[in-house]
Amino acid sequence: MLRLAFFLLRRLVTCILAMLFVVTLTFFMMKALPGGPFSKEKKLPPTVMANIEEKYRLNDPIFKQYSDYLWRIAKLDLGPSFRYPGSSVNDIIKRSFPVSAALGAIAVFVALTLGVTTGLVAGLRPCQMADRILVFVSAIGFSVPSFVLAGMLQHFFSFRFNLLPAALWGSPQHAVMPVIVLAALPTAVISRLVRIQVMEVMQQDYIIMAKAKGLPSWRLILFHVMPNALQPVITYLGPLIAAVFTGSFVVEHIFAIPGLGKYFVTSIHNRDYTLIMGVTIFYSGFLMAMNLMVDLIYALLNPQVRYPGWEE
Amino acid sequence: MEPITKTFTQSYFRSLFLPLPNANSRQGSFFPNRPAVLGLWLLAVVIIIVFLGPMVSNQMPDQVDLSRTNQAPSQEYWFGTDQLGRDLFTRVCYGARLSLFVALSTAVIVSFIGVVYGGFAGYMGGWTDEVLMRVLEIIASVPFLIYAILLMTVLGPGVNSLLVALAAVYWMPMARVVRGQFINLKEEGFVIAARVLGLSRWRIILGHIVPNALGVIIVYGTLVIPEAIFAEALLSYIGLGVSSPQSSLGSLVGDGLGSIRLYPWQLFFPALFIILLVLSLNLIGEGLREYCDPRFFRQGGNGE
Repeated sequence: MLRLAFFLLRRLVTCILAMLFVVTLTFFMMKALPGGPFSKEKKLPPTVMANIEEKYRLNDPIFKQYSDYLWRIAKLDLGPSFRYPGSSVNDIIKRSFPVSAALGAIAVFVALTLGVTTGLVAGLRPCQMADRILVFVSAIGFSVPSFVLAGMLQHFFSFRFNLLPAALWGSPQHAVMPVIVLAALPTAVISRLVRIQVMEVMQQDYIIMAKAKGLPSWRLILFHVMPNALQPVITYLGPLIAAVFTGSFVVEHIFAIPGLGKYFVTSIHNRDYTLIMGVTIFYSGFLMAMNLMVDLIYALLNPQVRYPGWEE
Repeated sequence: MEPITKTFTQSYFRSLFLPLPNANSRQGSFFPNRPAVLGLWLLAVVIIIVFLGPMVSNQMPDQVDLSRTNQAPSQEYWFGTDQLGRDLFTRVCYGARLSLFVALSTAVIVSFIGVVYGGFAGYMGGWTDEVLMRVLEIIASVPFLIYAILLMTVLGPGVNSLLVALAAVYWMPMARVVRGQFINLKEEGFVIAARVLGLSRWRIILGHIVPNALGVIIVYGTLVIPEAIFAEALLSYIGLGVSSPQSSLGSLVGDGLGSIRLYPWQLFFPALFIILLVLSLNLIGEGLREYCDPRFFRQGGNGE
C-alpha cells in the first residue's frame, strides 16, 4: 500500500512538473512569436494600441507577466481569445469539448471491443485464415494516416454512393465515419497486442492443465485466457486515449464537427495564439489526468505490478 | 571497432531473410521473415519510382500551366494535373523525396541526441542518471502531437523547423533505449578491462560501448522513420509543415482533400505513396525488431 501511494505521488509530481513545463513553454512561445497578437495588416492608432496593451497588461515586466500568467492558469482561467472577441478560451472549451469527448468515448469503446475480439480470434488460432487476414489488415491499418482514411471514406460513402452524410454533427449517422477513422489505428494496435498475448498465454501450464481437466472452452477463454491476456491492453489505455483525442484534431476538421479539435486546427490557421496555447494546456492537462487514472486502475487491478522507480 | 560494425551491417541485412529466432508459435521457422522481405521490395520499388520517375516523365514539379488545370490521369500526365496545372506525378515524386529526407534526417538526429543523452545518463549512473531520466519523464508526459504542434507554431513552417520539432519529439524513446543498453554494457568484461587498462572515458564510450549498442540504435532509428513520415504528413496537412512552393506527401494529400469531390485522383495518388512508404518501412522495422530482440515483439506500437 505504501508502495502504491509512493508510486502515485511520484506520478502526480511528475504530472504537475510536466504541466508547469507546458505552461512555461507556451508563455515564452507567446513572447517569442513575431509581431505579437495585435499586429494586423492595418496599423492601429498608437493610442488604441496603448489601450490594448494596457488591457492585456503587455507592458508589465516579463517576470510579472509570467507570474500573473501562472496564477491565472492555476485558477483555470485560460484567458480571452484574440480572434473571437467576447468569448474566452474557457467558453470555447466548455462549448465544444463535450462533442469531442462524446466522439472520443465512442471511438475508444469501438477500438477496445473490436481490437480485443479480433486479437482473441487471431491469437487462439495463429497462422490460420482468420489470423492471416487480420494480421494483413492490421499491417495496413498501421500505415494509413487518419486524414487519408477520412478522405477515402468521404469519397466512397458520401460522394460516390451517398450512404452517409459527408460532414457535420447531430445524428448517429454523422458519427459513423469519424469513429471509424479515429478507431482504426488503435484497433490495429490493440488487436496485435491481444493476439500476441493470447498466443503466449495459451502455452502456459495452467491453460494446459485447465484443458486437461476438461474445462469447456468458453470458460477457459473467459476466465483463464482473457484476464491474463488483457493486462497489456490496460497499460495501452493511456496512449489509446491520447491517440484518439489528438487524432480528433484532424478528424473534426475534415468532417466539420464542432468539437474542440476543429477549433484547435482553425486557431492554428488563424494564428489565434491565445486559443492555441489555451487548448494546448487544456489537452495536456486532460491527457495527463487520464494517464494518471489509468495508472491507478492498473495498480489496483494488479497488486503485483512493479512500480518503476521503486526498486532502483 | 571496424570489424564489429562490419559484421553488424552484414547481419542487419541478412537478418531480414532469416527465420525468426522465437519459434514459440507454429510459424514455419524455415521460412524467412516474409513480411520484412516484402517490405524491402516495396521500398525499393517506391524509391526507384520516386528518384527515376521524374527523369522519365520529363515534367517540372512547380511548372504552372493554367491551360491544363485539373486534368485526369492520362498518357502524358500519369497522375493527372493539379489546380495550377502542375504534373501530379512529378510533384508526388518530389514530395515523397522531401518526406523521405525529413524522416531519414530525423532518424539520424534522433539517434545522435539519443546516444549522447541516454549514453551519458547510462554511463554516469547515480544521481546524474536520476536527474536526466526525471527530466526526460517530465518532457515525455506532454502528448507528442501537441508538443510538435506547439514547436511548429513558434518556429514557423519549413523543413528546418520540421526537423527541429520532430527531433524534439522522437529523441526520448531513443534516449531511454540507449541508456538501458549502456547500463548493461558498462558492466561487461571488455569494458571493465578497458577501464583497467586506463583508457579514457570517451575512448571507452566511443570505441567499446557505442559499437556494441549500435544494433539496437539502428533498429530503433529504423522504427522512427515511418513514424516521422506520419508526423510530417500530419503537420503538413494541418498547415504547419512545409509551405507552398515546396510540397511533401502530407501537403499534397491536404491539397487533394480540398478538391476530392471533383478530382479524387489528386488525393489518391499522394495517399497511395504515403501508405506504400509507411507500410514498407513498418514491415522492415518490425522484422528487424523481432529478429534483434524478440522481447520487444510483445510490447506493440505506441499509437502516437
